Amino acid sequence: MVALNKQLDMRRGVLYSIRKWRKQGLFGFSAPDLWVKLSLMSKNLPNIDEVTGPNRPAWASPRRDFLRSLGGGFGLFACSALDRLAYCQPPVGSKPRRIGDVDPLKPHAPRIPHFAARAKSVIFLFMVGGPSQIDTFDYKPQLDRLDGKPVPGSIRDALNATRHANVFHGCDDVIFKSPFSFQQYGESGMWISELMPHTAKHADQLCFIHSMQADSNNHAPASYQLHTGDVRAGKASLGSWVTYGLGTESEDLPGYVVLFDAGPLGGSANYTNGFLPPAFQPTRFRSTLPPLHHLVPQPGFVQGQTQSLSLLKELNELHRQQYPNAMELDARIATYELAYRMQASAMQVGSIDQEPQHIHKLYGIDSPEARTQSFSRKCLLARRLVERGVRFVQVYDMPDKDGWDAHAKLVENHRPRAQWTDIGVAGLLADLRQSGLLDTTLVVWASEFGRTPMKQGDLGRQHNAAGFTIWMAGGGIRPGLRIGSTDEIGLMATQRPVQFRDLHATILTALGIDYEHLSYEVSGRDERITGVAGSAQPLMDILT
Amino acid sequence: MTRSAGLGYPKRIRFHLAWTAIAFVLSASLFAQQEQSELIGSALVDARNPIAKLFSGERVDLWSLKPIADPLGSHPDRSADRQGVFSHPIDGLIPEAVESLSKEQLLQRMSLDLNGLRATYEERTSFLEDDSIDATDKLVDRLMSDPRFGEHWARFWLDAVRYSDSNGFDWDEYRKEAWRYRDFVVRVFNEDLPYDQFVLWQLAGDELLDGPPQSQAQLDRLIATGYLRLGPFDNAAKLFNEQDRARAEVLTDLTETTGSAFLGLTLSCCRCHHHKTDPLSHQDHYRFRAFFAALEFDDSTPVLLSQEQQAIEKHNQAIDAKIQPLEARLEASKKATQDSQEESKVESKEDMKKLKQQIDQLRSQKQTLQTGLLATDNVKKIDAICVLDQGNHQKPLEEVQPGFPSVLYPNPPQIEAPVDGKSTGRRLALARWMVQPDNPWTARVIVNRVWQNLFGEGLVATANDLGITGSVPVSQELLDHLAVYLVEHHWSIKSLIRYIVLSEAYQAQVGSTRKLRRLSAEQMRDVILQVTGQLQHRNGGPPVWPEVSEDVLQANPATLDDNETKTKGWYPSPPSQQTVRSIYLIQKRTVRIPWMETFDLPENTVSCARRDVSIVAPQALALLNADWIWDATDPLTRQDNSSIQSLFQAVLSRRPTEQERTLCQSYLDTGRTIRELALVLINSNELGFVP
Repeated sequence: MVALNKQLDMRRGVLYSIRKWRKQGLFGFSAPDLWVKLSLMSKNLPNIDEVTGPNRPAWASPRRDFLRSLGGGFGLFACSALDRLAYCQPPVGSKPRRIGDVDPLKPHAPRIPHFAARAKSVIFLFMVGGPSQIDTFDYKPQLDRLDGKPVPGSIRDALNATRHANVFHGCDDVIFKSPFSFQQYGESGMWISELMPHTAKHADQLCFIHSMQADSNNHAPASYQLHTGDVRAGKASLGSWVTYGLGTESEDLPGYVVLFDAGPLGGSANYTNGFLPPAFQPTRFRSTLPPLHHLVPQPGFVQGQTQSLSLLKELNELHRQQYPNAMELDARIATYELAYRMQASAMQVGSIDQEPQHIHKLYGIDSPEARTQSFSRKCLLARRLVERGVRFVQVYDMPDKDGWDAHAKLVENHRPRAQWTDIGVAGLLADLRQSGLLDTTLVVWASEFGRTPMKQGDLGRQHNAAGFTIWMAGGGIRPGLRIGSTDEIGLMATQRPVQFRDLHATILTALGIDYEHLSYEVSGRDERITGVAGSAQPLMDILT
Repeated sequence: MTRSAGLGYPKRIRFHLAWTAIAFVLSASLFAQQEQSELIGSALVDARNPIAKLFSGERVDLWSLKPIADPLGSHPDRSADRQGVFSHPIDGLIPEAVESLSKEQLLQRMSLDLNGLRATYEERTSFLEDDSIDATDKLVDRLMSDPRFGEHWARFWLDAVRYSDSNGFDWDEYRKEAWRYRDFVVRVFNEDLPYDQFVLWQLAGDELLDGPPQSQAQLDRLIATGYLRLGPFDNAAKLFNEQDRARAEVLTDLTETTGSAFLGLTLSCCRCHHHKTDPLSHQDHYRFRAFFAALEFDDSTPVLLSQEQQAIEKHNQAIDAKIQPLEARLEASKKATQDSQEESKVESKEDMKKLKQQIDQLRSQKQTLQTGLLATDNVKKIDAICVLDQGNHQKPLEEVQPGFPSVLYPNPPQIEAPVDGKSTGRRLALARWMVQPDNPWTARVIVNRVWQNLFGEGLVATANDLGITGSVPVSQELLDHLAVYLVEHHWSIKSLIRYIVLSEAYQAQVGSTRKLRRLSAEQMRDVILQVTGQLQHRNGGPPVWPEVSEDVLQANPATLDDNETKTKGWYPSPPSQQTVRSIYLIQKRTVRIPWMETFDLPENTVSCARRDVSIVAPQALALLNADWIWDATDPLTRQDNSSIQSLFQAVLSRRPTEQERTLCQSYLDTGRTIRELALVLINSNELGFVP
């Protein structure tokens, strides 16, 4: 076992030295900085033999078997590391640019962050429709005592005095205790409900924010706000902002990818590039092949594609002679070469089935439930994309038109949805961690709002924008923390309320971006995702 | 003198000040003729102006605030002199000498710029053969009298007013009647409705009518008010008691869009506080918003001519008259059966069933009065418009009255309510002010948009922002000259376009003054349909819904939740209708047609000043691999006589050069097909750019 640990460490060492090279190339990190990081990281590595029981990370065991089956496996690690290396080299002969300095002919070329980045990429897991915080991660034992009773006057008055008074609209004045049981997990002793047994195993890796608030209690506006910072449609989403700021490290994959079966409520206006240049619009990948629309050539064209593309190039070169200074023509000629490469690279990244069996198992892709499979495939695809340098991956858990929107029958809504998503999310965390990617990948789990502790209709819960829980993990985030809290019934954030703009500022800071200086001029105004008022407050205490 | 003049005073004093001010201004306006000096002047000349008090110095010294003055005086007609040579006045104002492009390129440029489509091989041949001195003039006339002119030119305006066929937000309901506004805009450009009328009708068409419309032009005044309805609307807000937010958003959006689209004013910047750079105060945003304070959505007024309405009503009355006796019989019979008294009046069950059928059949013959997506005022419900702290509708500050940007127009406007008492006259006052001769923005903004549409870049690069952070005009003289030209030519957009495209500047080769432009999403699709012979004419009407795959519809899950009124789902049109021009395709807010989106279809939620143009690999994939393009190449190459030459003529409207012919022949000799060659030509840069 000791030997195995050594190998794991060694493997991380290789990855780290490669990452170091990459960072020096792209971000100008200093070597001492890296050594500090490296030593910190090795300290954080748990000894697999010591990790037992329910807290044992899911990655420990399968990886061990996997290594055995390979009889050492170092060769493979080195190979996959080199594979990644190939994706992350800065383009030859080009000088790295700074944030916002977008080369119109190469809008996706990587750009230098404002300061040292804690994370390089983001995987944003969006639970559509508002999962209930008090049935998942915000444990409120008082609810048992108050079940069936009206909302205590003090809590009601406190809520009514705020802009969130309309949260009462449409619910009964009856407390509805959580029908799910809670237990404590990990060294942090985090209370997590029975809905999330797999995620719970990573409790010590997660940083919870229990005091999120949204400005609207309706899906689309709140969802727009979580994505773009504004309850109105038309602004640019976080993924577009991040790729606009940093570009992407993958040369032949898009920088900003969205994955869903059904999209978020409010549709494409959520994940749009808005006013940002179209180069930063998201690309939707599917977790089955082919992963992209228009990726596969027509049967009548595929056989001679290379000849056709070279004829096209020759004709274009002739046409080019009429326009001596038109760079646009060169740019368009180049896009056909890139498109050709993308056909292969997108196919390759989308070939989830090439992953080994134990990885499929880790993510729950072997589940008999189709919806679990589908979400798990998206989680695995997210890792494959991030691994190849994709900057921002947004994953939606929406299997159909309802999401977590449990206005009635909370149990019947939440239990299956938790089952469909929990194992994939946990698998992703484990896999990122075992591959070392978690150090540079920021994982966010969030929704547009939570749900009321009051009952609505037939054992359901109303939307609740006044206080709800999200969590973050990985690159740049201190694990095992809990930030803010709601009142005793989980209705309203009372301690340290956090707004979406604060969340955006935190994520941008983790990526090495000064959020006040990531802006784009629209009609005379420097738009920022954190708002023009400049009132965002990043949660610096949760960042490493 | 307006309330904004009282800034800095405590609220109570401000209140008194304001009332005194209003009383004063009212009396002042009554005696305006005699006591001109009592009115406050613009911030440029009068220290009492609230903006002058707020921001001194450079901020008011802004080019776009200065009166429009034509540097060429009032004799612009093609007589300006450049170095002793007669030249077009526009060229006199652009100092650089330019080389003209070839006749063939000129033809394609003009076709793409004026009709959005390419000239065919036949059109090319006849144009090249026409050696007459006015060949180009004739070409321009032909292109501008083609109905496809309006279909192309409507697009830039629909972008500016963020046209969409749906509500946006959660349910994104289909707006079944929005197309009437789209068709109206197409008509506006085809029929060359003067731009000042276009402005008036959109903002206050309902206030210009006194009774049901008697002509298409009058009906268009009503349909034009669809402008006031185009913004996003959160129809679900009422479920969560957020109607106030939704209403506030409608008014915010309307204020900001009107400011951007018509005036190039960035009113969005002073929604939360005084403008950071431009001479606009926090109050100015809300003074402007107050013109829309009584706005009410109108879904009940028929969009029919008066005589059509009457005919339908008469028709329906006639049917009612027939139904009445039948119903009476049925009723009597029912009663008689119940009372079982007068046997004679009882009809058999069979007869009763027949009666009912007859009634139903008659009812089905009744015609409905078609209503539109319109807006008007509700004089009984005029919102009190308050300045909002940080733009937050839950934090109202002092109330304001309607007013134009106070930097130039600090005094309260004259608002006359129409005599019929159905509206407040506020929007009409706003619209009239926009087109009055001293307004420095309206004409400049529209001529700049027209220039941008022809050159790819405006004389002012920021078409929605003529403020301090916006771009400075490349040539203010030229901009102003064109603005004066437009107004002097009765606001005729066609005259303006004609004037510009006949200049050397427009006909210059690609170079320093002229850039290559990739076709827009609509042009790209339309041109491919055109050159493959698929494009079909459509005379307006409800949008065409393309077939899209299920996973595209899932972009907004609400689409999967079809409802009885058929507004939430996706309703594909028959295949025979699919190949219409792109302007007629459905434009939903939350589900976008992926192929079009790849080519930079703008967000239709806020005013789009200018199309972004990206050149990225997914576009190459979309052009190479899309089913509809491959399908379109089939009929093109199925004819027996398909050859390299016939393909070049169809797709590129010309014959191949010797070199091209050789390249293509050796390509075919390797076993490649003529159909593959067609796809290669469709992907060529020659087809993808405006020359």
